[in-house]
Amino acid sequence: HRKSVKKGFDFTLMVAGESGLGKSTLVHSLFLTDLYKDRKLLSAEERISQTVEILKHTVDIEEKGVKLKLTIVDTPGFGDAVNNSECWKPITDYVDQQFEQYFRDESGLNRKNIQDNRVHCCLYFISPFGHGLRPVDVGFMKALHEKVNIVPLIAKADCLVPGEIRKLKERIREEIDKFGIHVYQFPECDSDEDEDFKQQDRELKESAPFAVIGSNTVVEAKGQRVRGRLYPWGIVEVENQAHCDFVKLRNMLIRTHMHDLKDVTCDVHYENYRAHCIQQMTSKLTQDSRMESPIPILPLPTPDAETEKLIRMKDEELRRMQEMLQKMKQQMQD
Amino acid sequence: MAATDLERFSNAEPEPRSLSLGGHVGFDSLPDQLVSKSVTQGFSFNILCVGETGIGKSTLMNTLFNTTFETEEASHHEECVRLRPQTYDLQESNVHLKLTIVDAVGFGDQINKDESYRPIVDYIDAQFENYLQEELKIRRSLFDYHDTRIHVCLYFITPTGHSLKSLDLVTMKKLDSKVNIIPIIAKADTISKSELHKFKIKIMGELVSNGVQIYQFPTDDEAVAEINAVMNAHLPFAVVGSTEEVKVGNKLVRARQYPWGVVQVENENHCDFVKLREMLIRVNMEDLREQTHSRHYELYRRCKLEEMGFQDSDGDSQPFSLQETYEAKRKEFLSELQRKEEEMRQMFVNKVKETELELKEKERELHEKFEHLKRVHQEEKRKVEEKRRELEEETNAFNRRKAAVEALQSQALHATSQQPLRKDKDKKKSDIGVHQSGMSLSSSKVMMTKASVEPLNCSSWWPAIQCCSCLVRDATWREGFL
Repeated sequence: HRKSVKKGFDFTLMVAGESGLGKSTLVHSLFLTDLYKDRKLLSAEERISQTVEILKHTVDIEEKGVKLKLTIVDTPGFGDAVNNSECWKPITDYVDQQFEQYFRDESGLNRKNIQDNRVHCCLYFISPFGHGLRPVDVGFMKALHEKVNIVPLIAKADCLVPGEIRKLKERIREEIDKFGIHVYQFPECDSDEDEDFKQQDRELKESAPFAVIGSNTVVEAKGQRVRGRLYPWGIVEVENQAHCDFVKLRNMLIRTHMHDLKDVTCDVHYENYRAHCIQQMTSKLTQDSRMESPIPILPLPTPDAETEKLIRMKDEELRRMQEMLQKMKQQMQD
Repeated sequence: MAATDLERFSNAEPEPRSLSLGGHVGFDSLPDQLVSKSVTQGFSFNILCVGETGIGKSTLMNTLFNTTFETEEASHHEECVRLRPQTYDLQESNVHLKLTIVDAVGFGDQINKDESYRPIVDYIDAQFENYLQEELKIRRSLFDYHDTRIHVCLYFITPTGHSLKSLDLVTMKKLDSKVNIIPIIAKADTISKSELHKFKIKIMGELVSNGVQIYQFPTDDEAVAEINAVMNAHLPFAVVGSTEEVKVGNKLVRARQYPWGVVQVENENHCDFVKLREMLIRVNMEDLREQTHSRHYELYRRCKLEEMGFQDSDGDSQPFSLQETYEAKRKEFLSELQRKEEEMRQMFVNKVKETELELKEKERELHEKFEHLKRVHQEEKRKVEEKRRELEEETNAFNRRKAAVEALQSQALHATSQQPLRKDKDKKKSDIGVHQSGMSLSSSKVMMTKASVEPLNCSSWWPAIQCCSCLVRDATWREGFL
C-alpha cells in the first residue's frame, strides 16, 4: 500500500462523441479540475470537412496523499464533418500506437520506467436526442471494442424524463446486443462480499448505460451550494442520484473500478494486440522463408497453430519467470 | 378614328381621379365576400419538417395543432433521406384547413451526409414543377388545384449549446432560395437561459455570415408590424413539445415532468412555443403562402422557362408573347425532327446500297465457282470418255483376235473332221454351255486337232480333258500349240 501510494497511480481516459454533448463539462465535473481553459470552438462552416484530432491533457492531482496522474485524451472533430466515413480511424490508430509503444518498451532492455500510455477506458457519449444508437455510434464502437474498454454514456440527460430514460437505456442495451458490441462489463463480485456491496453492484449493472449530466457551475439549492444547472423550472443537481447517474459513474470510474479497468486493459486488450502482432510477425517470417523455395506452397493451417501454441506456452513461462524475478527483487529491497 | 383611340389608350394612362361618394354604395362588403368565399373554399397549408431523427418533429406538430397525427417512430438506420408527405383535413369553427406535413425521414443519420439535402431539394422542385405544369395546361383549374408547394420549412436545430452543425449550414444554404425557412431550436429544455441567449446569437451570426436567408416576418403591414418586429428578434425559437398533460396548480397543462421541475409548454418563460404558434398559424400563415407563390415559385418558374429557351424580351426589347415564342420553338423542333428523319432515311438508303453490292459480289463469286465446277466436271467426263474409248478399242482388238483364232480353229477342224470327236465336241459344247469362255473351248479343240489322236473311249468331256491334260505334258504338242 505504502509503495503504491508513493509511486502514484496513472490513468488514461479517453472521451469520444459528437461535439456539443457535454464531454468537457463532464470531465470537469468528474475530476473537479478545469482542463479546457482556453479552448477554441470551431464554427459550423469550418467544421464541414473537419478531420478528427487527438489531444492529450495531463494533469497531476492529489487527494489525501494519493497521487493520480490523469491523462485525458480528447477527440475533437469526431462526427462533425458532413461526411464522417471512417472518422474513427485516427482514434484506432492512436490506440494501436500506444499499444505498440508499450510493446516495444516491454521488449526492450531497460524496463524499469515504462510509461504506460495505453488508454484504460473510453467514455463514449451517446446523443439523447435520438431513439437509440446511430450508425456512426455503432461504427465507432465496433472499431474500438476489441482494443479499449468502452463505457457508453447517455449525455445531457436533463432533456429526458425518467420514463424516457428507461426506454432509451433498454433500447441502447438491445442495440448493443444486436450489433455484437462488447462494452466494458463490470466484474462479478465475490460471493463473500457483504450484502450492501452486492446490492450496489447490482444497481450499477442495471443502470448501464449511465445517463449523466455535467456542470461546472455551482448553484444554490435548498440553502446548499451544489453543482448543478439552473433552469426557470427547477434546478438539476448533478450529484443527486434521483436526477442522474453521475454519482454512479464517478464511483465506478474512480473509486471502485479503476484498477479493474487497468487490469482488463493489460490482460485482455493488450494481450489481444500482442498476440495479433506476434502472429503477424511470424506469418511474415514464414512468408519470407517460403519465398526462397520456388514451389509455391499454400500455408497449411496446422503447423501455424502449433507454432502459435508453442509461442504462447513460451510466453506464459516467460511471464511466470518475470513475476518470480519481480517478487525476488521486492523481497531483496524490503 | 380607330388609330387615335388606340393612341389615347396606350400612350396616355392618366392618374385615376379620386371622387367622393354621395351615399352608401355598398362595395365596402367586398372584403367580407372575399372572406366568406375563402372560407367555403378552404385553405391548404404545407409544412416541411427537417431535422435529425428523434429531435421532436412529430411531437411538435402534435403540440402545435393540438391533435395526434399518427406517425411511427423512425429508425436511425435508414439508407438515405426520403420524404414522407401526409395530408390531414382539419376543421376549426367552419374553417377548413388541408394540412400537409412532409417529414424528412432519415435526415442526419447516415455516416456520409454529403447527399442528404438532395432528396429534399428534389421534392420541393417536384411540387413547383407540378404547379407549373398545371399553370401551362390549356384547360386548367387552378382554383380547384390542390396546391402541394411547400409554404414553410421548419428546420430543427440540435441544442448543442455551441453552434450550428455543419450539416445544418450546408442544408439551409441549399434550401433558402426555394422555401421559407424558419429555424427552431428543438428540445430546448436542455439549455439554461444564459446558454440559450449565447446560442441564439451564435446561430444568427453564423447564418448571416454565410448568407443564409431565413424567413423574416413581414413588417410592412401596420397591423402586425410591431409584433413581427419583436418576434424577428427572438429567432430562432427555442421550443419544447409535449402531448402529455400534467397538473400544475389546479390546471391540467401540457408539460414535461422532470424530477426537478415541470417544463410547461405554453409558459412563455419556459420556452418560445407560444411565440412560434402565434407567428406560424395565427398571424403569418397567409404571408407565408404569398411569399412561396410570389418569390420562390416565380424564381423557379423563371429558371425553368429560361432553361427551355423562353425569354422575356429579344434583341430590340420588344416583349415576346408566349405564344410567338412557343410557335418559334415548335417550328424549330419540327424542323429538327425532319432533319433527323432525313438523316435516318439517308443512312438507310446507304445501308441498302451497301448490302446490295455485297450481295452482288457474292452472286458473282457463286457463278464463278459454278463455272469452275462445270469445267472440272467436263474435264472428268472427257477423261472418262477417253478411257471408255480405249477400253472399247481393246475389247474390239480382243474380239478380232478371238475371231481370228476361231477362224483358224474352224479351218483346222475341217481338215481333220473327226466324227466321234465332233459328237463329243457337240456334247461338250452342249454341256459346257454359255458361261464357258470361248478360249477354253477353242483350246480343247486345238488340242484335239494338233495332237496325234486316238479315239477316246470316254463318253463325257471331263475325262476327255483329263486325258488331254496328260497329253499336254507332252512337249511336242506344246510346241505345236504355241
